[in-house]
Amino acid sequence: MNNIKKLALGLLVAAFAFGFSAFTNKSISTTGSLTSDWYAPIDEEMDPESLAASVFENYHSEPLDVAPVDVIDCPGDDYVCAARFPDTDLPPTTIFSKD
Amino acid sequence: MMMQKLNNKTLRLTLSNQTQTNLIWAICYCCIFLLVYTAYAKIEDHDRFYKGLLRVSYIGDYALLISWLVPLSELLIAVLLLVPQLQKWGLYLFTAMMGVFTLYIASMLLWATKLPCHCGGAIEKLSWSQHLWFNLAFMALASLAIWLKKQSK
Repeated sequence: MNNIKKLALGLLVAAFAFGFSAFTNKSISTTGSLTSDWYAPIDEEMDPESLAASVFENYHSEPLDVAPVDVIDCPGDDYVCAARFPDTDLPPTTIFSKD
Repeated sequence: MMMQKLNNKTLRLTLSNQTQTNLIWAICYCCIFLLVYTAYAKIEDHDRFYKGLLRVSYIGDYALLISWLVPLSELLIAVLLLVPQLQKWGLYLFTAMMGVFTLYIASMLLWATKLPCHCGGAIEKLSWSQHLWFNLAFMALASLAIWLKKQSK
């Protein structure tokens, strides 16, 4: 195989990597409405006893920080993950379970 | 008879060289795939990568610089690996960069209380120890390619 062919194959590999990366990242961000470990509603006035809050394993009443909703790896000690609640008190439709 | 043996030996050596070259390119393709895959993930969701770096002790102050430097370096190394004349440098830089990442992971595993990873794409789903082995495997592959390149000279 000459160098041109090797270069072309390398470009093909790079293009495939771009496509695959776009594909896998899209699947992470579009379903990331809820994260793992600790959960707290973004709206701090929400009642932790509500139906929407009841789907979470843990509730942290005073989050030190609220991570963006698409972050999936909240450590849980200093940072809490957040769930974006709908205006109603129905639970979110997409939930990530803890690894 | 002697001549035939000599010819066979030459043929075997030629094939071996060809195999070595193919193996070097195969390793480079794997490295290119990894680099482009992770670089794209970091650039596409740059804000998330940047915010993740902000949380890391010691490097948080340089988060913005690092958040651009890492993916752009990955793409640069991928280009070096593609060009036959620069492939050797690409392999050296790839090994060095993976070494830095591996040291970072090892130090995090040893000392950090929080383990934030924003490595990009599906690689984030690996645990930290799996990530460590993954990096070491790629370093070993790149080292093999460097060794083969020296052998084929």
